[in-house]
Amino acid sequence: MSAVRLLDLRVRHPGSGFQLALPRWSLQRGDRVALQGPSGCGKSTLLAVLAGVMAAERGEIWVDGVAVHELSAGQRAAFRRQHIGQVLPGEALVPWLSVADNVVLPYRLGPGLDWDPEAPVRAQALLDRLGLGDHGHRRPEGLSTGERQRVSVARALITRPAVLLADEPTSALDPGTARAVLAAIEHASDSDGTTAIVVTHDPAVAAALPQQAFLPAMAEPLP
Amino acid sequence: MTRLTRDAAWLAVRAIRAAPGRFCVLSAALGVALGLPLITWQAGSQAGEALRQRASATPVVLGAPGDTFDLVFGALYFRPGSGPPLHWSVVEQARSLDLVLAPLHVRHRADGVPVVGTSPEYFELRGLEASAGRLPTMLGEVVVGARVARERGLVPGHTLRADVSVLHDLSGEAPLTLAVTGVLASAGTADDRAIFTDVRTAWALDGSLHGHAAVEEEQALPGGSSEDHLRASGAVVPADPVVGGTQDFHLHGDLDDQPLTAVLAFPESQAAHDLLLDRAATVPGLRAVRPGPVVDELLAVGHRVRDGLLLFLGLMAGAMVALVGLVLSLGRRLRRQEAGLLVRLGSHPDLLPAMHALESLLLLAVGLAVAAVLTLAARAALAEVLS
Repeated sequence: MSAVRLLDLRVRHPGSGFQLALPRWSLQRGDRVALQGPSGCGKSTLLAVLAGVMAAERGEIWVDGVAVHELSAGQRAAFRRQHIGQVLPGEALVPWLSVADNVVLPYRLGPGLDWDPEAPVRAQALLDRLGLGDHGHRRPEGLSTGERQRVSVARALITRPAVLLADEPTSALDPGTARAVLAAIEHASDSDGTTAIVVTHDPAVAAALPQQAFLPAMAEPLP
Repeated sequence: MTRLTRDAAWLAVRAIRAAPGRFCVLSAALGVALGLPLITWQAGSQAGEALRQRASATPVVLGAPGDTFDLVFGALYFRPGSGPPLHWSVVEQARSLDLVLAPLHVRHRADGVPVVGTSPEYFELRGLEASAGRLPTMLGEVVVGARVARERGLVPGHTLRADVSVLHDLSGEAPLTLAVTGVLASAGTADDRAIFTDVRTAWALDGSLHGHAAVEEEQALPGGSSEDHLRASGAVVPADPVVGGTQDFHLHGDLDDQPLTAVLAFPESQAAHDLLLDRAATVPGLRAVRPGPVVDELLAVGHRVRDGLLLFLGLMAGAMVALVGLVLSLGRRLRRQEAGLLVRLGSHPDLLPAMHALESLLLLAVGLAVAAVLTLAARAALAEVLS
């Protein structure tokens, strides 16, 4: 069973009028893909569709065996909690939660994903791996941009998701720290079978991942 | 508790903990706004109840013509009246009726506390007993109210000096030393805040009943003295303390003319009650007043004022609740980005509304707790003031 399978996907962005057409794309469990392409080609839109945040105009979206295209908005939210880990661009932490609470936040978003008593221990291990082991009690406002980005990565991996959707997870990191982030993703992929789609403009990061995908090449030209 | 509620509570508590100052200010403002109407209502009811109880425990007050409120509140709460005094003869005349009488003389103070001259019947009728020592039996002896004793550390055996109200009148009232023979058990009424003595001691404080200390040769006035006779002014050598020299004390003037502030009358039957009111109406210079209706009249005015105040405070509380709601609403608008993040991460559609509702409920609960604490504190403080 494919971890991700897209068939005849067509997405229209309601605000900008941007359209994306993807005839076919599939990824297996444990795959790690660097998704590349020029700005505005639809990389973030594709991640939003895979996460169920944005609905497709037509086509089939299968993620971890779930037909996302058939889900209602409420079901898509539950699907995200249960199957998807997301590293979002920008200020993507809750400022009034500590770093440790931000990491375990996916377990506190309502029914559908049972609280794991091991989550705090795993959160600490993830923070240790990402070089933030002694930052658990701090608030995001006291962290640098790079540190916040790494907390975001830890939060995305805490639930051992089937699919990790990471939008520029290393954009604010030095090469050494970026390697630590990629190592964490590799560890999740190896130990939990997480399929990772990493959007990046950094050739070094792309080269460090086993697979590369170039979105304009995958997409179908639109009139 | 459902999973959704648990998660909403987890988030709400952390949101509050992140801004404790804002939460404290809002809940305190809410507590004060909700507490003030409660305190006002409570204070009105409590004061009204205390006044009614005191009034209903006193069937009739006899006094000289003058202001009714002055007479009733002077007799019930030991405030010196501004009207003309009643005379002892009234007590003697009223004894023929089926009554128990307690004369009151409230004119003097000791250490700022009213000294109430009365008779042993007063203690019996009010149900007052000494918790330490005994009630006064001799001239110059006093028993102090529970609160007076507590605040001033008085115990039987101590003495008090009567306050001097007229400094330049050598022939007038004498600042006598009063012997504390007992402390009254707390009654939770105005009796706790007074000093009680026999009415004759009160007259001694007036200066109309006094004694003379033995005059020594060196105190003799120049001229007029002989070998077996000394001329001295008793006014400059008043007997003080009274106790121990009572045999020399004597009254200047007629007993019937001695002043009283009021007389509490406790008719032993309805017939005696009616007869007293009837007779009092025919005696010149005498008035019989039932304290109950007087207090009710005062309370009716007080309740009208209280109701107006309650309306005003209720409007203020409503405005404060609306203001707190506005602050919460603006706060949520400022946190829209975080809300968007939670939705993006897959939060349950009802999680954010549940979290906001719990935040508001916690704020309201703490506000109500603050209001309750303020009301209870005000109640305790008022009970202390009213006792």
